[in-house]
Amino acid sequence: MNMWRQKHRMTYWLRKLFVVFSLVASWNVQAVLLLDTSPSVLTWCTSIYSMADHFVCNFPTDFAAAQEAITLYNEWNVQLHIADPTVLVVDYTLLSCDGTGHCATCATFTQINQPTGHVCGVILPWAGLMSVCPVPKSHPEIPYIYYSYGNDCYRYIPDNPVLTVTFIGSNEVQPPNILPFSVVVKDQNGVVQPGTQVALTVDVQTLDVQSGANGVLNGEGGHLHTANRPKGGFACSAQYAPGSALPTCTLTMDGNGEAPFIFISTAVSGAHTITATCNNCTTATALVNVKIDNLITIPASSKYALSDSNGVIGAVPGKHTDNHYLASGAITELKDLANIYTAINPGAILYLNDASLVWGGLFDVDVVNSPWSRPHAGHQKGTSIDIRAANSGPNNQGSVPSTLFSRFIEEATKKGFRIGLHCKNSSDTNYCLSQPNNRHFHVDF
Amino acid sequence: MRTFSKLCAGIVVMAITLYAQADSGESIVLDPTTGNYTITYGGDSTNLSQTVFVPATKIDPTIRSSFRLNERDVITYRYTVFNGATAKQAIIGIVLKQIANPIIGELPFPDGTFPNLIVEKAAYDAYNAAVKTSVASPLNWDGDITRRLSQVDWSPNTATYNTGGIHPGQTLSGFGFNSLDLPGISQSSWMNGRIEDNEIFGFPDDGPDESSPIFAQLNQLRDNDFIIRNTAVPMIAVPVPFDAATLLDRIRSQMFTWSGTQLINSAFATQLDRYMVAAANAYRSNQPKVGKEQIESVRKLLEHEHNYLDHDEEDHEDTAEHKAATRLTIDRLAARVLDFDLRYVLKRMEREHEHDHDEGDRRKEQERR
Ligand SMILES: [Zn+2]
Ligand SMILES: [Zn+2]
Repeated sequence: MNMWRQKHRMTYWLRKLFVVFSLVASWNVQAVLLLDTSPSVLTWCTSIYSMADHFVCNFPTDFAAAQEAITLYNEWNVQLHIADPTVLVVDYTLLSCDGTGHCATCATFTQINQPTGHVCGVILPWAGLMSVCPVPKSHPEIPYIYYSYGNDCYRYIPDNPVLTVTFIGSNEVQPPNILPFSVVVKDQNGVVQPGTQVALTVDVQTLDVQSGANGVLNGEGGHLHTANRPKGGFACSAQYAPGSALPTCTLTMDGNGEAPFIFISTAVSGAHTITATCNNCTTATALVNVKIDNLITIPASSKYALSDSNGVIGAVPGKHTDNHYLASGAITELKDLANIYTAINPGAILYLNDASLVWGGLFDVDVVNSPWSRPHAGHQKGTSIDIRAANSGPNNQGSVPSTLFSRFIEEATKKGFRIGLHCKNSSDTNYCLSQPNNRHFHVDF
Repeated sequence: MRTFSKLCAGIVVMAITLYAQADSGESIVLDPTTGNYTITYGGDSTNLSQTVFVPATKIDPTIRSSFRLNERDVITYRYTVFNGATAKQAIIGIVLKQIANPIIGELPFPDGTFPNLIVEKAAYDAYNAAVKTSVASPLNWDGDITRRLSQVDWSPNTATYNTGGIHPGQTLSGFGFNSLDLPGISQSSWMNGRIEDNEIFGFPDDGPDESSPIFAQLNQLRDNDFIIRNTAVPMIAVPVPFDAATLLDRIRSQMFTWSGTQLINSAFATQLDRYMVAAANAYRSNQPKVGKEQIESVRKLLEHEHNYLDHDEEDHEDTAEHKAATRLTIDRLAARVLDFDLRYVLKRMEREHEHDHDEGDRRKEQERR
């Protein structure tokens, strides 16, 4: 090897180093499994001279094939001899990039947030500068990038594929309900990945998030208590058997790279995040809002009270403080009901206790003894409300007097309302009359 | 009609019994001796809860409708309610349904809702005052109009509420109002009886789950907790300006809402309809005489089925004479309503005719001058 060559090799490596850094810095690389099946270029040589860092391949037996290899396969750093175009110069350090598979010695590097991979390149023939990089035969979707400085081309080839999981399904469901989903796994080229395993988990938002923050506004569903909050679960196939929700799933993609599953919400409303992970996958999430849509807060009125001298009726700090949501139709009817009461008890107004939470769903009024379960039995859809009725408990302010129970119910019934008395924690079956503690009207609109 | 109601009740009970068998533990069971329903459901605790639903249907109501045409085309509607001697409850709710248009004296409040109670308090009070003067009520009863439900309803007032009502064996008249609309037959008007304080429906806990089948079944029971009776109520709007053919078409559509019920035999309805179509066509082609003949033919057919249809003030359906005249072809109330509506068309046409004459005379006079 003459001096010119030695010098050339040094500039080559400097250049290469530069290129690798450039790639790392700039190239948002998609991964690919390299499957190059071309024969080693060395098989075409009549004689091979082994130099310090490269081979010289004299007189290829199939020069055309060798040239094609230069142009197309290009995992080798192969070039025509500068002085003799019938001679190929093969880079020694790139020798294992010889068509059997990975260009394992091209240049290995690991970078945070980048999959492990290799930089492979081709030095274009010196016989005249060519600014057009060849299209690689193996994985042509990863193109060469041309670097004019050395008249050469490089590309980054990840060792492993980067797969993408996509959720197919709706993003809202009423509680409690099931929501059919499927996931599809594809590589960066859109090729589906049968047999890939995907793990699913689910979480639920527990903080009241204001608009614009990282989360969903009202995604906590009006529950300010967080301990043991249920998250819902899965049926790990397209089949759903009631009462069989699993906390996690491992799905295996079918022949179409797809697998169905079912998200099973609990009765508790909230913003749920389903997370899918798999090997070589970018983590994917699906947001599912378990909610009754379009509930609105009961507007203030002179015909009913939402607060008494102790504050918002029914509000429990740290548990549920925003408890007066209804569907708009129910609000219209509530106003009619208030008029009915005013007509039979002039000057008096209704004192309104729990309606629904902001997203509806289970309203676990007895958080201390039975969080995340009934009672309330109702109040889940924005179509029911409690109204104070005379009782011996602490919530008697503004209650409907017992002498008017019958009249109020009859008038309300005549106007199409469904109204009755409820007494929580009572063993009495005699219509709440002898158990006045916690007694209240419950109205279903 | 009573047979029909009982049949309906029978179907409801059957459905409920089936449900009771289908579900483990939860059930709605009618006690035939008390007439009450025992509801067993999954309550707040792990054990099943129970409550008793006392229906407000232990009444035996008969309601008689009368309607009379007054000056200025105003129709006065009056109702008399009788509670059978064997009833166990006093009637305290009378609800006339399907009254779509405002009755006279009622402020036409768009849909009976009060979107902003504070701002619209004055409007609400004015509305209530108008209702009080536009709805006639017997002593110690209050009437009301609920536009949202297209209904006029009555109950004993506050002073007499706990003891009032129409007790078994009693009859009460004086319910009513005025309207410009012609009568049709409401098949969903209802009455209910008084529930005593110790019978008020309630749950010893928070009740069944909103999503449970028993919740839906129970609601069905509660939503139908009344006895339905046919009533003649204003249902047919008179076209303004008056148009006999259009009005006849409306009367025909009303008649056809009766088919499929015991109100009219469908073959008889078709027979009547032929004449009514002919009458409408005659009026359309400006042949009032032919129109009148066709209408008289319908009236003759009705008269053949029931006596004294045009005795608007006499509504003694229960007399032996009336019963003897009752035919299966058409219910007596339906025949009365139809006859009244047709007579209204004739009266208005006569007047239009006179009006035409007057106009003609005036024109002639002017020409002479
Ligand atoms: Zn809660
Ligand atoms: Zn309630």
